[in-house]
Amino acid sequence: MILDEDLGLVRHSLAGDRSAFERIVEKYQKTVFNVALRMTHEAGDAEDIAQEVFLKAYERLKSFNPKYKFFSWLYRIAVNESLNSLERKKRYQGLDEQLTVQGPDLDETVEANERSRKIEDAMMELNVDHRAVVVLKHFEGFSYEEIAQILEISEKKVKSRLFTARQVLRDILLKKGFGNND
Amino acid sequence: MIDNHIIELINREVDGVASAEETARLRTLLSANPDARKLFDDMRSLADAMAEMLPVDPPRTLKPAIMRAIDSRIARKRPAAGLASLLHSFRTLVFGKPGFVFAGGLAAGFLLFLITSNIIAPRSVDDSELTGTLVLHGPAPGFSRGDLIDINSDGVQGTIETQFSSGLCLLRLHVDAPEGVSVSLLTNPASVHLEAVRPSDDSGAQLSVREGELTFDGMKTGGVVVLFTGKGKSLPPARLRLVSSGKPVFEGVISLENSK
Repeated sequence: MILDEDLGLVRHSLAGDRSAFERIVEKYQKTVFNVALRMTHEAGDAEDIAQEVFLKAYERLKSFNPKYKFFSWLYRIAVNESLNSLERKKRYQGLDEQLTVQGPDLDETVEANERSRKIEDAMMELNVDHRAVVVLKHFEGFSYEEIAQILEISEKKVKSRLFTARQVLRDILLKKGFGNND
Repeated sequence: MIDNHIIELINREVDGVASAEETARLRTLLSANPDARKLFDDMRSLADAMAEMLPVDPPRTLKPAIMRAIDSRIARKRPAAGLASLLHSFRTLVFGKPGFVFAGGLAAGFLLFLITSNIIAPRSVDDSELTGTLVLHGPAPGFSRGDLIDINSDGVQGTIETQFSSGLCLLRLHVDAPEGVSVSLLTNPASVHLEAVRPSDDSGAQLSVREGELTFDGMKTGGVVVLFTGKGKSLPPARLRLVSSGKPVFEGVISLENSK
């Protein structure tokens, strides 16, 4: 069981087993990095945020309540750190062009990259609260309930933000021509 | 005109949480409302496009960077700054009272054992302000002046880092030695106090402490953090020696001087 495994890793980490925490990093670094990347749209920032997230998680491990899901707790730190980073920067930067999206074949990849770029650009026009729910729902696949836990808001608010965010996103994308050629 | 009820149904359908009944109702509503149909198609298309956006692999340096940062935090919390004052109090207590010197020596040895065994709960010290310059004495091939020294000899790789502040010295050593390496730190016990020693949990090393000599045998991958202070104002030299399969791979005499 994934959740039991997490709990075991947390317990071992708390007992001073460095390799247990290393396993946590290994397991969640990609998702944490991607949450930060989708939120900030900047690879360098996402890397810094991911590092800070795991450091904070390590330092606050004692405060983790095992009756909740560990990954929800970790995602909450990731979202908060991303919001803090955005707050600090208050500026927009394009996605690092060195980042590549893995795809099955070249033509499809080019098209997918173009679509992705439009969506990523549009995402940055959403306010951060709306962006957070879209990231957690569409890129991380969380349920309304899980998003509510992570963001510490009601499920009703999650739905409301998500519905609004998608409509705003759709309007932005339509203006950018998304859907005509995509 | 799209009312809120249809919008909610559209969103539930896009999120895959609509019941069979809701799906059927939505289908009926959409067939009679072209605007709603267009909204639904756009939402579905957007959700599909986002689902196709694959996660990006993080840089390969991310995990090592995280673990290094965590090791640094661990090291920051482990050193026993408070022990320095405890030792000082103890020395003050026995100083000038020869009758207590023998007992004092025994107690100090026991205290050192407790420190190196991590039996005493480590006291927190903030090493964020620790700075320093590492000065070399004598020939030491590959050993350049600076705060950070690379080791790369006979299959042993690693780094030595020193920092100090207010008479407090922090030595960090990380090695990657598949065949294992023996690390010795030699100091003059008359002029140096060893305050805390913390090998990383994965170092696999056996720690032994003798007067003026700290040894880690069989260190493969991992590190150690050593905190020590000088008895006087200056910090006396320490000799660091790494031996692998009986062959010296690194030796250097280091003095740590306060750059402030």
